[in-house]
Amino acid sequence: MQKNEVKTTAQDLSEYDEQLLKDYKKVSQAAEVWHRLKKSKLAMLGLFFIVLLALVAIFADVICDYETLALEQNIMNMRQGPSAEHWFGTDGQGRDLFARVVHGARISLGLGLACTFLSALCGLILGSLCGYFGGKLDSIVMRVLDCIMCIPGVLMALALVAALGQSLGNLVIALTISYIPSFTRIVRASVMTVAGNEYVEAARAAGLSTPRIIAKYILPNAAGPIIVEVTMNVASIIKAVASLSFIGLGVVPPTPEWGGMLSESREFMRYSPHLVIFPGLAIVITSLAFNLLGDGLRDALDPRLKD
Amino acid sequence: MYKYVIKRLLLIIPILLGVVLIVFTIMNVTPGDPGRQMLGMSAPQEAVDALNESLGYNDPFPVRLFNYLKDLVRLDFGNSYRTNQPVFDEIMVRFPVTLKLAVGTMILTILIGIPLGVLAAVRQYSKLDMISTFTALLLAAAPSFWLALLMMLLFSLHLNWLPPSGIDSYKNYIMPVMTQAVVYAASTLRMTRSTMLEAIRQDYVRTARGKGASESRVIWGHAIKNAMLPVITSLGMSFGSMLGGTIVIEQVFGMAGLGSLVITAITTKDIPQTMAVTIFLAALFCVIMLVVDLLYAFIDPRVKARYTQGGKH
Repeated sequence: MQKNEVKTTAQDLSEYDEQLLKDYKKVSQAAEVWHRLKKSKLAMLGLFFIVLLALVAIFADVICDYETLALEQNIMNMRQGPSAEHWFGTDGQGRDLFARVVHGARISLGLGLACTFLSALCGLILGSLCGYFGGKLDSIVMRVLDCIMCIPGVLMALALVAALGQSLGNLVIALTISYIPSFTRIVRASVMTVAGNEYVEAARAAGLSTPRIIAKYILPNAAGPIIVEVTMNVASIIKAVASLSFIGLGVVPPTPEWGGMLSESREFMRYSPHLVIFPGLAIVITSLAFNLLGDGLRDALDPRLKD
Repeated sequence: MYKYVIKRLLLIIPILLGVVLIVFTIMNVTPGDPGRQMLGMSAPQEAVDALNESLGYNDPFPVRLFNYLKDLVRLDFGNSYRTNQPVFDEIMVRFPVTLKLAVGTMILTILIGIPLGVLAAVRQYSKLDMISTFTALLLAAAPSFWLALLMMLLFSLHLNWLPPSGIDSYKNYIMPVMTQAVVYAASTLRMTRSTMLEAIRQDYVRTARGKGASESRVIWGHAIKNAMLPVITSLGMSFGSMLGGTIVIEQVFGMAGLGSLVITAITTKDIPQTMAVTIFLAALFCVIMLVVDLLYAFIDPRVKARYTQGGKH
């Protein structure tokens, strides 16, 4: 009797389902998306640059020493052009620009990814709750987000940094808050489309708990647009970090951050244009890479473009 | 339709109230007090305390918030702590600068972004498509302040054609407008291209061709209408954020617009000024979004039908 029992209880169903999900996901979704993504040369180029930048950020200390090259001032070596010794030349305080750009990758990429992760996480939680439950919770949260969206992002970040004090952590908080509304909206919209499906109804009828339904049934199916939005936003957040440092908020000198470096180099740009070119190129390459990957992911995740 | 507009205009009020609550709270937890800011570091503590007292800054936070809201109801935005002038005097001096920047940018963005985006879609995979899409991709990745620096390097420092900063003549606006337009045009081009690609594959476009409409009429008369809807939303949002978001560009080119006013107000803890600018910008943003929604009705008869037949919107 035990063996032939039909699987109807919630416990059984979810176990059965877990197994199914494991098998299914491995052969199908992720692999298929990856397979399609691989076909896009531009997306692969973007991925290549992201991996490269990540490696540079991780091994920055191995590539060039932080203290002696990126921080220590050397008045004898001010504002030299690019040479064999200093690939990107030296800056206004005689520091090696290459070393500062390399270490800047750590700060800029780190800050960008931290903000993206935090705001995406908040957006994921808020958005899926709003999208799934709807009702009062949804209207309250959405009205608050409407208000935040009406406040210009830079103004909000400025006010928050002024309120919390200028530090890396507070910059992350300020930008995270500015980016929560757009993520929440995307997640909410995708969750709402998925939540109406029969299999969600079935899962609910089988008595699965709500967090489980959201995590196992809704989010995996709503993931496509969310992943694309996250990837695209990394680029915009990295640019926002650079802008805030550029206008003197955010990262405090002498920390090497690309936007801050541009701001320090402004006064010398007439005779030492390399000082504004290299850090700027670093920002362009980084955000280009994330945009390319985002474009590729959007196409790969779009069911209409399946062959 | 009028009912809808009035309803939407009334809905702006609670949103502005929310904006006031958020920004007022942030401004009031900021360390430092306005008295010290106004009188300077060397002023005696007693004078600072007295000034704070007279500004009502020593009251508990809920009392201050209530008093501020009470004044707002009477449309009294207060005087700037810094200049002691009514806050809107300063805003009205600064706003034209920002508005000129935003409008100029908008016009240039539309003139570059939309035609090129349509052409790129119509001639998909042609040389024009490849070049413009790639350039757009590259420019969309560049931070605007960096492009501004490069432009300044070329046009002001090397060629000496344009003044690097100030707001004295129309020449001062060329570089800031170009810088911003390039960035926004890049994203507009990308968006127009993808929505156009979708539109030209629709049945009604085939129908138009089948009825013998000329190719240019099919594209510019039929296909573009549907393709423009998402583009208009994004342009509207860009315009709204540009009014408050020219902060960085104004800083680079040393223009005394709203953006630089915001920076000064926030860093000197000038609460009435900051609040007024925020409310002003948020209200503008809401109105622009309303205009965008109404534009929809003009372009898309389906949307118009929803309003006029007393739809739920």
